[in-house]
Amino acid sequence: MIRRAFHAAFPPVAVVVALLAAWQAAVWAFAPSEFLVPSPMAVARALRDGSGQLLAAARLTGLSAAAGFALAAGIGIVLGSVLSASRFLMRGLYPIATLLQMVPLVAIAPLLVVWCGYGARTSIASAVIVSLFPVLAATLDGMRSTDPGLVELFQVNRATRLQRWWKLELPWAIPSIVTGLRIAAGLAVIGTIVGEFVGAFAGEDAPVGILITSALRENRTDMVFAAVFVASAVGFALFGVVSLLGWVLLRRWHASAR
Amino acid sequence: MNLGAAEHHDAAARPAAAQQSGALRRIEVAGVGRVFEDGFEALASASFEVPAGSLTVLVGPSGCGKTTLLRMIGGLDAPTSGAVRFLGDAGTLPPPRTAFAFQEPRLLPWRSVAANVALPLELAGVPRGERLDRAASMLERVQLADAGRKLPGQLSGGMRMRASIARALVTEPELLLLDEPFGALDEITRHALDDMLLSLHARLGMTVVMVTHSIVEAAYVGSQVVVMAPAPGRVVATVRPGFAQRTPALRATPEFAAATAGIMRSLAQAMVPAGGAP
Repeated sequence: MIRRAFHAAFPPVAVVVALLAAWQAAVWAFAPSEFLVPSPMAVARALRDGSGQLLAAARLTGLSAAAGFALAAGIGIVLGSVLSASRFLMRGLYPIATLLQMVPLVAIAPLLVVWCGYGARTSIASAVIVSLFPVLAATLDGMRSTDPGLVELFQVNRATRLQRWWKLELPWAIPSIVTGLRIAAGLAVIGTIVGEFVGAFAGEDAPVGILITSALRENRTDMVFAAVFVASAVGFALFGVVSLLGWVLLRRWHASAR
Repeated sequence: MNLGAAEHHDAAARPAAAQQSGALRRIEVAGVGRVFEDGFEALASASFEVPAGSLTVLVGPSGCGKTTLLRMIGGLDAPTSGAVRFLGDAGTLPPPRTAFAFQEPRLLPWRSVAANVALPLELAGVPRGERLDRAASMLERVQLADAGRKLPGQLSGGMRMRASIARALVTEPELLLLDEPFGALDEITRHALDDMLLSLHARLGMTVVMVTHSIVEAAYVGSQVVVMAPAPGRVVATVRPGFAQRTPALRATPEFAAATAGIMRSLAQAMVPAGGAP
């Protein structure tokens, strides 16, 4: 057990340590200004000294990202279910959803401020917009691939449309939905920080997006790196929760969780 | 061990089933034909009777329209000519309570075997306790009493098929339609399940119509065998094997060989192209 965990963890840990060492060595050797490239040591110091600020930022950004992700998951699964049940709605709405997905978030983010105002609502809306499509597409694909033999079984037993959705199509689509949610988890954090760049303000505590912009203004590149590290950790945590949920739902019956 | 309880359940269930199926005397397949939308004639014209309580087997090669015919008997498809009638003493009846089992087990992989067997009752709104009791007693009948908590993925092919049969029987149907239920299994497993089907039929007394492409299976389980040929699909003979006792040893007897030979002869004569014989 411990041996196996060690074998799994050793290669990535070794690579990360080697990269950090090379980075530190390069900073010592070429001595660029701290403003251009901070050393890993400087970043570690920023993480330690700014820990209070960074934790508060992680909490704010994490809450916005989680809220945006949850909304996108709910809307995506419901909308995907509705589209999969209606050929007309699918033909009508899916191409539009695909097109909307191509609109760059950064371009419409200022509009979100106009509609949602300054604060967390803009960040959440921004997170919803980027993470909705993967959930919608995964739900739709998963449900449309339901085994026709099982659909016939439900029809023969006179299942209602709602029974067919709840007892057959939704569980059938879960492996696909979990994959969509994994992609959406990372995107939700990106969307949140973009929203914070344009529409957040610093109250008592500042979210990660504000921390980054104000650190840049103060030429604190080490703090920017620390904030990026925190943002990645928030994304990783969200991804981990989704993966755990998928494992709990699928481990007993689906090959993807073995 | 639990046989007493099972028999008691039988005794309680049977009169109710008899009251309802008592009305059904026979199923009449009268000149039934089916032409698909693309013009393909799946079935030209089939006529025969299925006596209530019989185990009627439709046997023939691929493309003889046997599955299409089974679907029409079950109301999953409508004939383009002729009709399927359910007849009682006083004339035509509405279709009886019908259950299907397919060639694949079609179990939901995320549900336990017991929950799969209980599914038709669940969809019909039967309360949880009752449906699980009925599923458990049906699993006992198909010798899967210990597998109820397992997932379908943990069962062998033969066990999955038995679970599928249990799911079809759990609604206590008057008419059971089987579409090549054991076609994907190895021959020895298939023989064992044929014996299981016979004992279920003897105990529960429902009318069974079964499709197969195995002549041996047809001759063994059928109280009536409807032999079909393709291009276009049609009935070429109706055979009643009429064995006094059907035990596994029957398959090795000369009289059984004679019965299968009879079915093969009917098929061979029908399959010679018109005017093609020298």
